[in-house]
Amino acid sequence: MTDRLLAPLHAIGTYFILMGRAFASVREVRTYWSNFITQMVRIGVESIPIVALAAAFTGAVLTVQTAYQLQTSFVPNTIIGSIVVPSMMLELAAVITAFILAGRVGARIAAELGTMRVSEQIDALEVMGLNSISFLILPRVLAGVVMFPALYIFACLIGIGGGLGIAEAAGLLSTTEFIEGARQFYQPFDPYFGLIKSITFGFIITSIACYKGYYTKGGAEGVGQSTTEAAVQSCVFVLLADLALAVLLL
Amino acid sequence: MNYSNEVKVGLSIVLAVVVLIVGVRYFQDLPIFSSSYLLTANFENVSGLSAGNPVRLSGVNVGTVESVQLQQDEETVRVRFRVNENVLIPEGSMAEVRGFSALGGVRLGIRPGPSSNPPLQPGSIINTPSGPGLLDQLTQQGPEMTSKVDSVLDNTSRATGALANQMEEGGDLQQTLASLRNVATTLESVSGGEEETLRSAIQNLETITADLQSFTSENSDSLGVTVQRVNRNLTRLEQNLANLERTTAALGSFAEKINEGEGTLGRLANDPSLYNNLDSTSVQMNRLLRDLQENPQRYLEDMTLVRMF
Amino acid sequence: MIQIEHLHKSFGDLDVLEDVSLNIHEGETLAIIGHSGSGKSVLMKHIVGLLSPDKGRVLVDDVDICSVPYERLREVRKHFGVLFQGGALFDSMTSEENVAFPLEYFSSRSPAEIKARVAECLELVRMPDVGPKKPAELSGGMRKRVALARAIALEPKYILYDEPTSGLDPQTSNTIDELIQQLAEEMNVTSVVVTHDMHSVFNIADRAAFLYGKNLHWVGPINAIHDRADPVLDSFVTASEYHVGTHPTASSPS
Repeated sequence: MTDRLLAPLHAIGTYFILMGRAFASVREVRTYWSNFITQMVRIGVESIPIVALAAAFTGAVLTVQTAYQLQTSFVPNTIIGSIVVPSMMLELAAVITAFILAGRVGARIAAELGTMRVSEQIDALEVMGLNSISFLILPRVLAGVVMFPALYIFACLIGIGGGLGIAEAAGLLSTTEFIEGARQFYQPFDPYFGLIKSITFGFIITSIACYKGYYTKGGAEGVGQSTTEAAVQSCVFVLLADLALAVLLL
Repeated sequence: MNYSNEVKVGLSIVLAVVVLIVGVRYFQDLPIFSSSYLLTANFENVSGLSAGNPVRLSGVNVGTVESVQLQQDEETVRVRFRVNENVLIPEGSMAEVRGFSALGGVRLGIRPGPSSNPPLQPGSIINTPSGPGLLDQLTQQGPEMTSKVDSVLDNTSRATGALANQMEEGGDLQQTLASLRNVATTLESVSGGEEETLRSAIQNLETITADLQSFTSENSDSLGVTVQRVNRNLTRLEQNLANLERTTAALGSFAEKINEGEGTLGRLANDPSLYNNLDSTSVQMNRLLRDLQENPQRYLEDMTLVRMF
Repeated sequence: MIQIEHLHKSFGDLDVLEDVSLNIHEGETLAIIGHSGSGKSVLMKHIVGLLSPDKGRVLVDDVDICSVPYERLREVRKHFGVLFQGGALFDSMTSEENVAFPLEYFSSRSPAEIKARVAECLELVRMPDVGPKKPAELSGGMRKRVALARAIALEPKYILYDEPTSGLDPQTSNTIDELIQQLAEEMNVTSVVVTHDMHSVFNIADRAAFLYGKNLHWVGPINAIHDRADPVLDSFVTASEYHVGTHPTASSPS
């Protein structure tokens, strides 16, 4: 009974100690720099196509459905732009990016570190005298924190572009109307709120995946379990953080 | 082509930063590459205006509202907004909230002041239609205006007094004045001219009053500008009266010289028509000036605002 | 000199080691033998601080590695080379890069010197041609030898071998044994070999430590194993010999 109660606390404690140890070595740039660059490519650059695809479709679907919902009302067409653009900036660009990357990046990190753990590669790093946490975890989390905002920005751009494109192509409203509507309700804080979200999500996804991977136990099955848990739990915590940020910052 | 990882990462981040900057400025409706400046306006009520709403000058988007802050201690709402660098807003312009938030069309409109006015400096406060700023300015400038009017009337009375003295101390006035044909002609033309100036001065005042009236009724212009104009007109009136005083003094010195019996003037002293002429002129003049002294309100009747003080 | 003093370790409810004390002398080759699951690998991991004991301590050159700060522990670890069971090569790197890895991080050698040292180490383990290959392209025995090359790259004072011959065919096992002997002689390293392969033990070890029932059942010179009439040890040793004698250590997929 106490075990069941203590297990989550133990996990939370281990997770935060792991992150603390990772960031304690943030000055040992030499240890993680090359990994940092590699991970920025894997987490960030290589994710651009899938994020762009998802964002374009999200923007397009959102525009078409908003137009559909508003078709019989008396509000001007520009309102479609006023709904689509802030929705993308505030919520969808960040959350869609996070969900895709929870699968793509989170699972990959967990599987990679999990395999390294069960094949004793992490032990090998340690006995060489290398700080495995600084070498493996810090560059991945930092790469997430740096590259997620960049992906978020691209998702915004492409998502709004997708909305604009479908609006023009389907004759729902003109680009001018769309932009006018977007500007009418534009809040300067919107994109910055999205950026804050994406940084948070980047940290959550990479750090949970690192935690799951780093503490993988027991062979191939363990790696599979870690990978699944990393993807699922980072999605859950992304949603929780999304709500928390909305409540705290808006 | 194969680029190194560093190049890929660098390119992505640089692109993202550029998109962010350009995008944010684009949606704020700011020119993407030139900069903007900040102005402040204080409102009693902003009717739902919020950050990000457009700023329009004569119906053209020229900037964005940056922040709307409630100043509870001052019971005003401070609105800070950005205006494109290349748009100059003259002093005396007015900011007002237009549109209805329910229809989504709230914006900050700017009614431009006289284009001859210097442009507002970045960071300065722009006037608003019914804010406390208006009355503040009136009460500040009021006493100054009253004292100016006072001093104008003072000068007038002094000038008249001087003229009267000269008339009385003239000695053999008939002879003296009779000998003043040339002088009289000069004086006539002078006083005629002054009369014209006075009339125009009073007309000016009437215009000012009209301006003020239209200002309060239509809120068409900034009070600051009006007050400046009134000041300018009063200064001119004051200068006119100073001229009159100087003329009177000159006349006095002439009369003295005649009293001392200086040559050619004797010959001029025997022409009664000249005297009559001069007499009627000076009587007219006297009447006008006394009237102005005693009943200034007749001339300033329409200055309803001035009477307020 | 490595001193293990009164070491206790349990995982949850499972006690693995109870009051284990062992001294490992400079220059010797010590074999830690025992049944599978007897805690041999756990004991070995304590020596390099990969696990920390519940009670007791481990001294490496008089440094208590169980209580020193992490940074100090990392310094101590640089004296160790460890050959893990599966080799634990970094699979994202080629063999060369794997061997060069510790040199790049922990030596002040120039790239040319690192290249030379990598070639030297691969030569030493008799694998001069696998440099550009990735671990996945190598067989188990080759992987272990590349891993050994990586372990000795920084010329360690101690080399720990975790089941160096398990899962290998007898011929490859012999090659590995020869390498262990060769390194012990040529580099004068102190070797600790965790194994249950008695054939290998008799080939390479100076002393043996027999783990049984959560603690050290017997420690002594290798040639004294047969002198003791210890039923537990005897059955372990004879089982191995019988195994070696009848089925020439067929490689098991593990």
